[in-house]
Amino acid sequence: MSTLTETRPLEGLRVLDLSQYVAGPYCARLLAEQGAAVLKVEPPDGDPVRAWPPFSSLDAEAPGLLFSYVNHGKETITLDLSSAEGQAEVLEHARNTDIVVESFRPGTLDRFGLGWDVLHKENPSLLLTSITNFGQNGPYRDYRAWDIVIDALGGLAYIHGLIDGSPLTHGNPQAQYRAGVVAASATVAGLLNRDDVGEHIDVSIMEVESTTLRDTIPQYTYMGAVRRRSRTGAGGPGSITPCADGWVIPSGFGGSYSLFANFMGIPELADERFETGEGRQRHAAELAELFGDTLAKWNAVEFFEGAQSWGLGVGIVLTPKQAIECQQFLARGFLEEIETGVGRTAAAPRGAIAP
Amino acid sequence: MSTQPLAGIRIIEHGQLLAVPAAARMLADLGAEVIKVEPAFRLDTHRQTTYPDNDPGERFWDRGGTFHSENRGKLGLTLNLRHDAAVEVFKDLVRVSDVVMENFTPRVMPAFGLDYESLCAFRPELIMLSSTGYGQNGPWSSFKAVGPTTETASGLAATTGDEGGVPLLPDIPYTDYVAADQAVLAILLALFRRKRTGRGSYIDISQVEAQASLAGELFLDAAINGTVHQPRGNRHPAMAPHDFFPCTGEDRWIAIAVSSDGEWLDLVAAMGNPSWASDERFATLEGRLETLLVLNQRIAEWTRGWDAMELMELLQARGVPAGAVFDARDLVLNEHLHARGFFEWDTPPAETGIPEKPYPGAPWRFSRSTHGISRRAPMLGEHNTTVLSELLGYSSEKISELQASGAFGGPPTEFPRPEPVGLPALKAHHRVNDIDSEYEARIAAIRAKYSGASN
Repeated sequence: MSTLTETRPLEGLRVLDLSQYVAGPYCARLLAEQGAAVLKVEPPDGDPVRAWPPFSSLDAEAPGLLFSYVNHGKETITLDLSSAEGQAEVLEHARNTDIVVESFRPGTLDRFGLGWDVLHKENPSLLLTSITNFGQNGPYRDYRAWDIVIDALGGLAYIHGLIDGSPLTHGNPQAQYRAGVVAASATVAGLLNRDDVGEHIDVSIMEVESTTLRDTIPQYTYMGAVRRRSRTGAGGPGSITPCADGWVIPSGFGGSYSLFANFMGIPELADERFETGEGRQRHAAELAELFGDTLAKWNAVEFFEGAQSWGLGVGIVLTPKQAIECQQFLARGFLEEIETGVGRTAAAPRGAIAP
Repeated sequence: MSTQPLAGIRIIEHGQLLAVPAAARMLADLGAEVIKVEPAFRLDTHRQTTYPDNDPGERFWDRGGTFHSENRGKLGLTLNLRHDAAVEVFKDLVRVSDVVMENFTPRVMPAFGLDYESLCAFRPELIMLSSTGYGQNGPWSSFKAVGPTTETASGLAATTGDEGGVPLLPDIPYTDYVAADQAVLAILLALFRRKRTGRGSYIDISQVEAQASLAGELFLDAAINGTVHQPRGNRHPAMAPHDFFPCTGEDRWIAIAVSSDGEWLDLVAAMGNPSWASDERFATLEGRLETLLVLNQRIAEWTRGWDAMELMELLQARGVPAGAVFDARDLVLNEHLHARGFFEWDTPPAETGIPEKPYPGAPWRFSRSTHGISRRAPMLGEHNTTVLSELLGYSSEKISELQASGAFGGPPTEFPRPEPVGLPALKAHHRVNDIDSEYEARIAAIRAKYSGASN
């Protein structure tokens, strides 16, 4: 079977990665994974994300694990882009590269004398991928943001969390990670269209989020309805529920509740009140009580695998620690060793695009 | 010369729900010709939700707002693949197509004889992508999955939620979009590789893995330090304050994230230098993290008197990262997004009775390549005849035969007309905050203001 890894798509291409934090570096890392040679340029003090937790307890000198993960597979040099020497050196690299990835605030590259016009003149086939919080134009162009601010403005936070509590952000920089993937796609789209002429690609992290809110936007544009957070945080009853040793999602997702009743030995579940989504919403409290008492006795993996074998599309919560020991991840070779310090490696997810 | 990156590329999308349909619409936006193959005997969920003004109408299956949003740019073909004749049509399509994308459980395509190896036998340069919950192999490969369950299995959800509480997921199938992002990247890479080598490829996307790959540092933390992750609330290990704070009005909030001691001083100045803020414990990140509960309470007392938008403008003017928490109305009417031409306008066909509306556009702009909604979403089976006669060159007799044999599937009139999901019921269950009777006028006003903007 032919897969992308036999001949990696970007073999022979060069990437100059001027970016910092998560989105830009992850974009460049994905390009490296697909065969490109990536040179990362860091400022003299280093990429600030080197100092972000979590850290390795085994190696006090090593950078943070987020830095190690999103910069895996790159060569790194240090240059001061605010100095004439640093700028000249970057320009020299840019003349001999296919792609530049950057995540400075809009206008910064111009101030360094390394803006799109200059780069395009020096290297007409170059692709410049700029990843910023709000894009290269518009009233929020110069606004400052981190992931939690993107989640606020992008529309995700308002529908994340419990109705009686505050909005919620993900437990890691999801918006930046996703923007890294989207920027890698935009870059490859640019490559497909490049011929001899490159272009400037403008990726907005806010828009990465705002374009993927499913029915949230049509609910307003079609009916004037403003969707908000749910009671359970996961879109209705049957959502994340504690069991004996963890959490599961005891929802059939299409499976019949009478099947659930048989599998779990709770005859009360075979009730027409629970057969439709609206009914389950209406009787959420009773449902939670029925599930809760019985689920408290179940082991998470036994419940998950058992119910799935009955055709019930239930879910399980895995911590990362459980995931790295999970047979499904191991069977697919999903983990790979990456460098996390000098002479030290640890298991991390490989990219999702592999055999 | 400006061109679409995927001009001349034909994609068969045999998708359902979200992960693959969303990916295919992004590829359609980039210029690919996407033929969406649907079974007519089982309507896509998105054809049965979010009707205009909550009225399913006569042709409810063509009136779903989410369907129009996630399936714009595609041609629509219905095929009942339980019929051998329909399977042959699918194969004929593969003969003239570049890409097949599907997101059914791993047994489905082989059962139809439409797995990669079978298709490759006559179309060796084919690119095929399968997107499933857990992947094509391994002990969980046949398990059913949806966005919420793949997010929980990915490791990410374990760290997301209120401190001390259960994991909490966004109220959308977030991980479907994460998988869609990866599918778009994979198809573009495969096309680029084919352009360079002439060779096709098979891509196996696991939604759980797609999400886990966006949580690498958590996995490393577990592998190296043995960390067992718990929901961490809105805390950040390197920023404080870092949370959502209440503002005036019902359920209005602002996110504030202070990433340096300098930004803390900027925030203090914006608050008018209150005496409590001069406490030296607050001067360093370490001190602010240690006193986070008190700190957050103090800030909330201040934000409570502010309008979220005005406070955002004040804080941003002082360089403090802050953002009002936007709901759907805020987004659709947002000046920044309209100034960037983010929303794209599209009119479904007259039969649907849906007027022109804005749809979320793309997260990218190109200085040279063009992209955007190329055509509206298809009505069910709308292009059956066009695709078969114009693309495959079938005679009208052959198309009639297929029609008579049931290869396209039964007429959608066999489905019971759904009841409108009552907005009062939604409101009663707190899923909907507000029903805005002025929404059309508001959208028209923002459109008029930015009619010159375009991407």
